[in-house]
Amino acid sequence: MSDHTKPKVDASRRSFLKAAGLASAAGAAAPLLGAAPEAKAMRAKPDQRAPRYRESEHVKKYYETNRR
Amino acid sequence: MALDETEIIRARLYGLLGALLAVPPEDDLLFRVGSIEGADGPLGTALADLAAAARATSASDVQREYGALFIGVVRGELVPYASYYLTGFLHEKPLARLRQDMAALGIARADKNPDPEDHAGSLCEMMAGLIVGAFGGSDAVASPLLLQRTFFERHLLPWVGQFFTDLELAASASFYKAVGATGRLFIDVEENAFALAAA
Repeated sequence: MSDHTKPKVDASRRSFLKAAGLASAAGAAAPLLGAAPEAKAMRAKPDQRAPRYRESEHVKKYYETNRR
Repeated sequence: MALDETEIIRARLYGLLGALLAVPPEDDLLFRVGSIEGADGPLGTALADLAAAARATSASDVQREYGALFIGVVRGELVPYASYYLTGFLHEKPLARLRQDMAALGIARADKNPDPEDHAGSLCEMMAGLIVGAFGGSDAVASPLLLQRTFFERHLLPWVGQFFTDLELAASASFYKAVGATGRLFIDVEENAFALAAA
Protein backbone atom coordinates (compact mmCIF):
# COMPACT_ATOMS: atom_id res chain seq x y z
CA MET A 1 0.00 0.00 0.00
CA SER A 2 2.51 2.58 -1.26
CA ASP A 3 3.81 4.60 1.63
CA HIS A 4 0.57 5.53 3.28
CA THR A 5 1.72 3.75 6.39
CA LYS A 6 2.11 7.10 8.10
CA PRO A 7 -0.52 9.66 7.28
CA LYS A 8 1.10 12.91 6.32
CA VAL A 9 0.43 15.29 9.17
CA ASP A 10 0.42 18.94 8.44
CA ALA A 11 2.57 20.93 10.87
CA SER A 12 -0.24 23.41 11.43
CA ARG A 13 -2.63 20.56 12.26
CA ARG A 14 -0.20 19.12 14.77
CA SER A 15 0.40 22.42 16.52
CA PHE A 16 -3.33 23.22 16.49
CA LEU A 17 -4.09 19.91 18.21
CA LYS A 18 -1.33 20.44 20.74
CA ALA A 19 -2.47 23.98 21.51
CA ALA A 20 -6.03 22.71 21.86
CA GLY A 21 -5.02 20.88 25.00
CA LEU A 22 -4.96 17.37 23.63
CA ALA A 23 -1.71 16.51 25.38
CA SER A 24 -3.38 16.33 28.76
CA ALA A 25 -5.46 13.37 27.59
CA ALA A 26 -2.34 11.41 26.80
CA GLY A 27 -1.43 9.95 30.11
CA ALA A 28 -4.00 8.43 32.31
CA ALA A 29 -7.02 7.82 30.17
CA ALA A 30 -8.39 4.59 28.77
CA PRO A 31 -6.13 2.21 26.83
CA LEU A 32 -5.96 2.92 23.14
CA LEU A 33 -9.21 1.26 22.14
CA GLY A 34 -11.25 1.79 25.23
CA ALA A 35 -11.13 -0.04 28.53
CA ALA A 36 -11.62 -3.80 28.79
CA PRO A 37 -15.10 -4.29 27.43
CA GLU A 38 -15.98 -7.70 28.84
CA ALA A 39 -15.61 -7.09 32.55
CA LYS A 40 -17.29 -3.72 32.47
CA ALA A 41 -20.02 -4.65 30.06
CA MET A 42 -21.27 -7.35 32.39
CA ARG A 43 -22.40 -4.69 34.83
CA ALA A 44 -24.78 -2.79 32.57
CA LYS A 45 -28.04 -4.35 31.47
CA PRO A 46 -27.04 -6.71 28.67
CA ASP A 47 -29.44 -5.25 26.15
CA GLN A 48 -28.79 -1.64 26.94
CA ARG A 49 -25.19 -0.85 26.32
CA ALA A 50 -23.41 0.35 23.25
CA PRO A 51 -22.09 -2.30 20.87
CA ARG A 52 -18.32 -2.80 20.89
CA TYR A 53 -16.25 -3.23 17.75
CA ARG A 54 -13.59 -5.32 16.10
CA GLU A 55 -12.57 -6.08 12.57
CA SER A 56 -15.00 -8.26 10.68
CA GLU A 57 -14.29 -11.89 9.77
CA HIS A 58 -14.60 -11.44 6.06
CA VAL A 59 -12.01 -8.70 6.12
CA LYS A 60 -9.64 -10.93 8.11
CA LYS A 61 -10.05 -13.66 5.51
CA TYR A 62 -9.49 -11.18 2.71
CA TYR A 63 -6.22 -10.05 4.20
CA GLU A 64 -5.09 -13.61 4.83
CA THR A 65 -5.75 -14.78 1.31
CA ASN A 66 -4.15 -11.69 -0.09
CA ARG A 67 -1.04 -11.62 2.04
CA ARG A 68 2.07 -11.27 -0.12
CA MET B 1 3.17 1.89 11.97
CA ALA B 2 4.51 5.16 13.30
CA LEU B 3 1.62 7.40 14.18
CA ASP B 4 2.30 10.98 15.07
CA GLU B 5 1.91 11.44 18.83
CA THR B 6 -0.97 13.89 18.55
CA GLU B 7 -2.89 11.38 16.45
CA ILE B 8 -2.42 8.75 19.15
CA ILE B 9 -3.76 11.20 21.72
CA ARG B 10 -6.82 11.82 19.55
CA ALA B 11 -7.40 8.08 19.46
CA ARG B 12 -7.04 7.87 23.23
CA LEU B 13 -9.58 10.61 23.78
CA TYR B 14 -12.07 9.00 21.42
CA GLY B 15 -11.42 5.72 23.20
CA LEU B 16 -12.02 7.32 26.57
CA LEU B 17 -15.27 8.95 25.48
CA GLY B 18 -16.36 5.68 23.91
CA ALA B 19 -15.62 3.75 27.07
CA LEU B 20 -17.44 6.25 29.31
CA LEU B 21 -20.51 6.27 27.08
CA ALA B 22 -20.65 2.50 26.58
CA VAL B 23 -20.84 1.57 30.25
CA PRO B 24 -20.43 3.47 33.51
CA PRO B 25 -16.75 3.50 34.54
CA GLU B 26 -15.60 1.19 37.31
CA ASP B 27 -13.09 2.14 39.99
CA ASP B 28 -9.98 1.55 37.91
CA LEU B 29 -11.09 3.73 35.00
CA LEU B 30 -12.43 6.40 37.35
CA PHE B 31 -9.05 6.47 39.03
CA ARG B 32 -7.23 6.84 35.73
CA VAL B 33 -9.58 9.61 34.59
CA GLY B 34 -9.02 11.27 37.95
CA SER B 35 -5.32 11.58 37.23
CA ILE B 36 -5.66 13.37 33.89
CA GLU B 37 -3.93 16.72 34.09
CA GLY B 38 -5.49 19.78 32.58
CA ALA B 39 -4.07 22.11 29.99
CA ASP B 40 -4.66 25.63 28.75
CA GLY B 41 -7.69 26.42 26.70
CA PRO B 42 -11.27 25.20 26.76
CA LEU B 43 -10.62 21.52 26.05
CA GLY B 44 -7.70 21.38 28.50
CA THR B 45 -9.91 22.95 31.16
CA ALA B 46 -12.74 20.54 30.38
CA LEU B 47 -10.34 17.62 30.81
CA ALA B 48 -9.20 19.01 34.16
CA ASP B 49 -12.87 19.34 35.18
CA LEU B 50 -13.49 15.76 34.05
CA ALA B 51 -10.63 14.57 36.21
CA ALA B 52 -11.99 16.51 39.18
CA ALA B 53 -15.46 15.08 38.60
CA ALA B 54 -13.99 11.57 38.52
CA ARG B 55 -12.21 12.15 41.82
CA ALA B 56 -15.40 13.52 43.37
CA THR B 57 -17.62 10.57 42.53
CA SER B 58 -17.74 6.81 43.03
CA ALA B 59 -18.37 3.87 40.75
CA SER B 60 -21.76 3.23 42.33
CA ASP B 61 -22.86 6.87 42.04
CA VAL B 62 -21.73 7.00 38.43
CA GLN B 63 -23.59 3.78 37.70
CA ARG B 64 -26.80 5.30 39.08
CA GLU B 65 -26.23 8.47 37.09
CA TYR B 66 -25.57 6.51 33.90
CA GLY B 67 -28.79 4.57 34.42
CA ALA B 68 -30.84 7.73 34.79
CA LEU B 69 -29.19 9.33 31.76
CA PHE B 70 -29.24 6.47 29.29
CA ILE B 71 -31.31 3.51 30.52
CA GLY B 72 -34.25 4.50 32.69
CA VAL B 73 -37.29 2.23 32.73
CA VAL B 74 -38.44 2.68 29.15
CA ARG B 75 -35.72 5.10 28.11
CA GLY B 76 -33.17 7.35 29.76
CA GLU B 77 -33.16 11.11 29.82
CA LEU B 78 -31.12 11.03 26.62
CA VAL B 79 -31.22 8.77 23.56
CA PRO B 80 -27.70 8.95 22.15
CA TYR B 81 -28.23 7.55 18.65
CA ALA B 82 -27.66 9.31 15.34
CA SER B 83 -30.99 8.11 13.93
CA TYR B 84 -32.85 9.47 16.93
CA TYR B 85 -31.14 12.84 16.83
CA LEU B 86 -31.49 13.25 13.10
CA THR B 87 -34.96 11.80 12.49
CA GLY B 88 -36.67 11.42 15.84
CA PHE B 89 -36.70 7.64 15.55
CA LEU B 90 -34.26 4.77 16.06
CA HIS B 91 -33.19 2.45 13.24
CA GLU B 92 -33.43 5.03 10.51
CA LYS B 93 -31.39 6.03 7.45
CA PRO B 94 -28.43 7.34 9.49
CA LEU B 95 -28.01 3.81 10.86
CA ALA B 96 -28.33 2.27 7.40
CA ARG B 97 -25.67 4.61 6.03
CA LEU B 98 -23.39 3.83 8.95
CA ARG B 99 -23.78 0.09 8.40
CA GLN B 100 -22.78 0.49 4.76
CA ASP B 101 -19.63 2.35 5.72
CA MET B 102 -18.83 -0.12 8.50
CA ALA B 103 -19.04 -3.01 6.04
CA ALA B 104 -16.73 -1.21 3.62
CA LEU B 105 -14.24 -0.49 6.40
CA GLY B 106 -14.32 -3.97 7.90
CA ILE B 107 -15.85 -2.87 11.21
CA ALA B 108 -17.92 -5.49 12.98
CA ARG B 109 -19.41 -5.92 16.40
CA ALA B 110 -17.29 -7.48 19.10
CA ASP B 111 -20.29 -8.84 20.94
CA LYS B 112 -23.85 -9.98 20.37
CA ASN B 113 -25.40 -6.75 21.58
CA PRO B 114 -28.43 -6.09 19.38
CA ASP B 115 -28.45 -2.35 20.05
CA PRO B 116 -28.14 -0.11 17.01
CA GLU B 117 -24.55 0.80 16.10
CA ASP B 118 -25.17 4.53 15.68
CA HIS B 119 -24.64 5.08 19.40
CA ALA B 120 -22.43 8.03 20.35
CA GLY B 121 -20.04 5.83 22.31
CA SER B 122 -19.80 3.25 19.56
CA LEU B 123 -19.01 5.95 17.02
CA CYS B 124 -16.24 7.31 19.25
CA GLU B 125 -14.83 3.80 19.52
CA MET B 126 -14.93 3.45 15.74
CA MET B 127 -13.07 6.73 15.30
CA ALA B 128 -10.38 5.51 17.69
CA GLY B 129 -10.09 2.30 15.71
CA LEU B 130 -9.85 4.13 12.40
CA ILE B 131 -7.10 6.38 13.73
CA VAL B 132 -4.91 3.51 14.87
CA GLY B 133 -5.80 1.07 12.11
CA ALA B 134 -7.72 -1.55 14.09
CA PHE B 135 -10.03 -2.65 11.32
CA GLY B 136 -7.96 -3.97 8.46
CA GLY B 137 -6.42 -7.29 9.43
CA SER B 138 -2.69 -7.84 9.60
CA ASP B 139 -2.10 -5.30 6.86
CA ALA B 140 -4.01 -2.68 8.76
CA VAL B 141 -2.55 0.76 8.76
CA ALA B 142 -3.75 3.93 10.34
CA SER B 143 -6.54 5.32 8.22
CA PRO B 144 -5.63 8.31 6.10
CA LEU B 145 -6.91 11.55 7.53
CA LEU B 146 -9.23 11.99 4.58
CA LEU B 147 -10.94 8.69 5.40
CA GLN B 148 -11.25 9.66 9.05
CA ARG B 149 -12.60 13.05 8.08
CA THR B 150 -15.20 11.52 5.76
CA PHE B 151 -16.36 9.13 8.47
CA PHE B 152 -16.42 11.93 11.05
CA GLU B 153 -18.39 14.28 8.80
CA ARG B 154 -20.89 11.62 7.77
CA HIS B 155 -21.58 9.95 11.09
CA LEU B 156 -20.58 12.23 13.96
CA LEU B 157 -20.52 15.87 12.97
CA PRO B 158 -24.22 16.26 12.06
CA TRP B 159 -25.42 15.46 15.57
CA VAL B 160 -22.92 14.36 18.19
CA GLY B 161 -21.96 17.90 19.25
CA GLN B 162 -25.62 18.51 20.06
CA PHE B 163 -25.73 15.25 22.01
CA PHE B 164 -22.69 16.25 24.09
CA THR B 165 -24.31 19.63 24.76
CA ASP B 166 -27.49 17.89 25.87
CA LEU B 167 -25.41 15.65 28.11
CA GLU B 168 -23.73 18.67 29.64
CA LEU B 169 -27.14 20.17 30.43
CA ALA B 170 -28.97 16.99 31.44
CA ALA B 171 -30.80 17.13 34.76
CA SER B 172 -29.49 13.72 35.78
CA ALA B 173 -25.89 14.54 34.91
CA SER B 174 -23.17 15.20 37.42
CA PHE B 175 -19.98 13.38 36.44
CA TYR B 176 -21.37 13.13 32.93
CA LYS B 177 -21.70 16.92 32.70
CA ALA B 178 -17.92 16.97 32.41
CA VAL B 179 -18.04 14.16 29.85
CA GLY B 180 -20.49 16.23 27.83
CA ALA B 181 -18.31 19.35 27.97
CA THR B 182 -15.19 17.38 27.03
CA GLY B 183 -16.97 15.69 24.15
CA ARG B 184 -18.48 18.91 22.84
CA LEU B 185 -15.15 20.73 22.87
CA PHE B 186 -13.25 17.78 21.42
CA ILE B 187 -15.66 17.43 18.50
CA ASP B 188 -15.18 21.13 17.85
CA VAL B 189 -11.39 20.71 17.88
CA GLU B 190 -11.69 17.72 15.57
CA GLU B 191 -13.78 19.64 13.06
CA ASN B 192 -11.26 22.46 12.96
CA ALA B 193 -8.24 20.17 12.91
CA PHE B 194 -9.50 18.21 9.92
CA ALA B 195 -9.63 21.48 8.01
CA LEU B 196 -5.89 21.83 8.67
CA ALA B 197 -4.98 18.36 7.46
CA ALA B 198 -2.71 17.93 4.48
CA ALA B 199 -4.83 16.94 1.49
